Amino acid sequence: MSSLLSSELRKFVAPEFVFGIGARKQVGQYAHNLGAKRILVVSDAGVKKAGWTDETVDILSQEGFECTQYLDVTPNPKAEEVMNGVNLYNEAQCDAIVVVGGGSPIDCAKGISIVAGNGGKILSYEGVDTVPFPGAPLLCIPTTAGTAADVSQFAIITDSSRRNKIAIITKSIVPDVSLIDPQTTLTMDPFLTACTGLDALTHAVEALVSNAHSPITDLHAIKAIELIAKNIEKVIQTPDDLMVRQNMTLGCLEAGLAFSNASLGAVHAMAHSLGGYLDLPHGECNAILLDHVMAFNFKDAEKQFDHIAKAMDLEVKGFTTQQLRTSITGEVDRLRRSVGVVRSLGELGVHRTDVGELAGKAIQDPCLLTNPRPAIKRDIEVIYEEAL
Amino acid sequence: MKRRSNKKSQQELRDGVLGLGQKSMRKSYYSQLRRRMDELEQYRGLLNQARDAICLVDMDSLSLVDCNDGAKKMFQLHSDKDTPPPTLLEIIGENHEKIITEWLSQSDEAKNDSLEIEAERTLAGGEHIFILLSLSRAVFADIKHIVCVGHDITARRNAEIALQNSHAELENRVKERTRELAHSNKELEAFAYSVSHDLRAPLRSIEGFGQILLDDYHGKMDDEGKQYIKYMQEGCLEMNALIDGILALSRSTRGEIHIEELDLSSLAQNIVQTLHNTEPERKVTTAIMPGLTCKGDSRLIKTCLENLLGNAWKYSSKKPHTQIDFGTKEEDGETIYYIQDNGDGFDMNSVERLFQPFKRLHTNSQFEGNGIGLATVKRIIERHGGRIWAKGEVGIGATFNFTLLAAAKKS
Repeated sequence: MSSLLSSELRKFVAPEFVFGIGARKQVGQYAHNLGAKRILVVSDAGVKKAGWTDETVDILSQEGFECTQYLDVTPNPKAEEVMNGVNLYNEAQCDAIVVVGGGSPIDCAKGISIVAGNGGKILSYEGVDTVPFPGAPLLCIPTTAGTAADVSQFAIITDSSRRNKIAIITKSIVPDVSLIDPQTTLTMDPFLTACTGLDALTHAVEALVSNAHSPITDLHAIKAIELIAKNIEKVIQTPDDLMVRQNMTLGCLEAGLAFSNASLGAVHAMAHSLGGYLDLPHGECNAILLDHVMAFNFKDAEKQFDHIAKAMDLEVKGFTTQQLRTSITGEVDRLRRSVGVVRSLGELGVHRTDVGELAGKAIQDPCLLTNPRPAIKRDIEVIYEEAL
Repeated sequence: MKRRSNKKSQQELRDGVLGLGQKSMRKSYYSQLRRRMDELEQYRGLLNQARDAICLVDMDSLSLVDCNDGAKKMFQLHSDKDTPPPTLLEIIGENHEKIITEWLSQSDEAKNDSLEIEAERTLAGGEHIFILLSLSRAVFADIKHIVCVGHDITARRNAEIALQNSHAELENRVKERTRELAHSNKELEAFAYSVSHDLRAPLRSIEGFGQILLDDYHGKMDDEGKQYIKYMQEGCLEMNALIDGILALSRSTRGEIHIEELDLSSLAQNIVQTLHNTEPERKVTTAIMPGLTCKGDSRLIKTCLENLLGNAWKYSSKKPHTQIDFGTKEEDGETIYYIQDNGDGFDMNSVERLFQPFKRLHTNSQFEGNGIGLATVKRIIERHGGRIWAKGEVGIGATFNFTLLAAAKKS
């Protein structure tokens, strides 16, 4: 375990969370704890169809809460979706938000919480540490084992008018409570399971090699890599195995605790740019970019990559640096293909002519601040080109 | 994302990402909560400063939810966790139940109306207080409440009661005094009447025996003695006239008056004719306006005109040619009667004495009289709801004006 190298302060913030099978059923008690009476339930059509939204609303209604459902959330949630949610929140005189879903509904709910508590427009909170007051109380029931938005300080909102994703990064938006129930991940299809799993792996890797990592975040990041590397292929093979689902969910949570506090790196900076520019699925973008960015970063975080090799249970004894790098990136690439994420960026519709603009946006992303190897625009362009 | 051009802003941004930014470091629900609680404390402090009672009452159960210090004092409430909170009706009195129930059942559009009730309470110390209560509806935390504000109006109410009492007392005293006065007036008048009446008999015997002396002892008395008896008899006549006057004055304020339509012109005409008959040698021109009427008591009004026309006749006797006018004029919608003569008149400086009994402006040697006539006239006019006033100029004449309420109404 590495010790702190500099005199920099380290901070660790996590919401209160309940982990385990049936955790979601605590929603009534926790809504009471938040002093809520009228609740905006944010979700999306897919989760609603899987039944998780209605189950939550039923529990809340039985507990005497008035629920208003907001389901008009799309993947890569848009600023206007946030503002529509705020209007609904205010019209229904809500006093808390319960979000049931994956990264998109959770980020949208975070946006609604910010504006409900601080006023204004969501896009004006773009950036780092921009939220002055605590937002509306926010309770999360994540249904994907991937984004860990339910424990993180990140919200990514799409500004459709600029074809860009904006990041809001502040501890102010770490949710109040997260009820993490592996059962909810059973309804994910294999491809979504793969993408979200690889997203969680990316979180763990980027947090571990982040130049702001700390012994505490390392603990979580390493544990996350272990769990995901060991279970991601199993979960595709036996999707109904609740034990495997629980391991993946725990891996995702561990990764979330790590990256929310150590932050991320170039993979996320570049994926945000892709998501905003071409509305591509976040998890898949991360998965495609991960081994390329790892190769780029390797020499600036060798010690941390040792931890990764160990956590992935790779036999690397006596390997040269070069061999170690190839072994790790090769394993990451193998895992990705093994779980069915096989497309390249080119196959997703990214053209060589897009690269300049994509890199221009990625270079300004705050996630790049904690990337272990300083990158200039050209570096980013090269990585995009490799992944085409 | 903004351009990050220098190292410092880059560092700041990185601190922010790590949760070390200013806003994120400051983030605390407790400071927010403390601020809100301080605000609440401040509000409660303000509420407690108010002397008025301010109560929050649950609309369904009517039980007290919260109140300020003013309410605790006014309604003598004691916060006790073991006993259930009192209800609004227990606080302000069960007798207001009906009006509050009616108010609560009002239709939606009337729901903004507040209800004002006056309540009374006797405090433990025995002090009785009056309270003006103002009830309005309010919804807090989705629960319907009544806000009841009580204002102590004891001082105002006590002042009102004291004022009413003193009014009543004053009225009683005035009644009492009026009754006493009426009683003594009556006694006085009865006395005057009986005195004047009883004086007549001895007077008649003096006068009668004087006449017998003159008739039967005519030869036995010298001329001087006869002259003395004549003086005696004249004194008797004078005294008889005086008794008549006092009786008239007494009658003018006594007894019922019977109001009827009177023909003043012919009444005056008759009086003047009588006067002419008594002194046919005098050159007197009278101008009596035809068709003068009034409403009044015929006996009293006749006495009145006899006095006024008699005065005009008497006080103009030294003029070679007498002119007497009787008529009416309209002033400010009021009918004013006037009797005017061209006689000796009077000095306006003495006008106050004119209507007082036994106060004469002339000696008997100038003009005969007893000083009761105008006092009688004034009382009669006032009994008819009118006024009388006079204007005079020495050597030129006098005018007596009077009104009668009945006449004024007619116009």
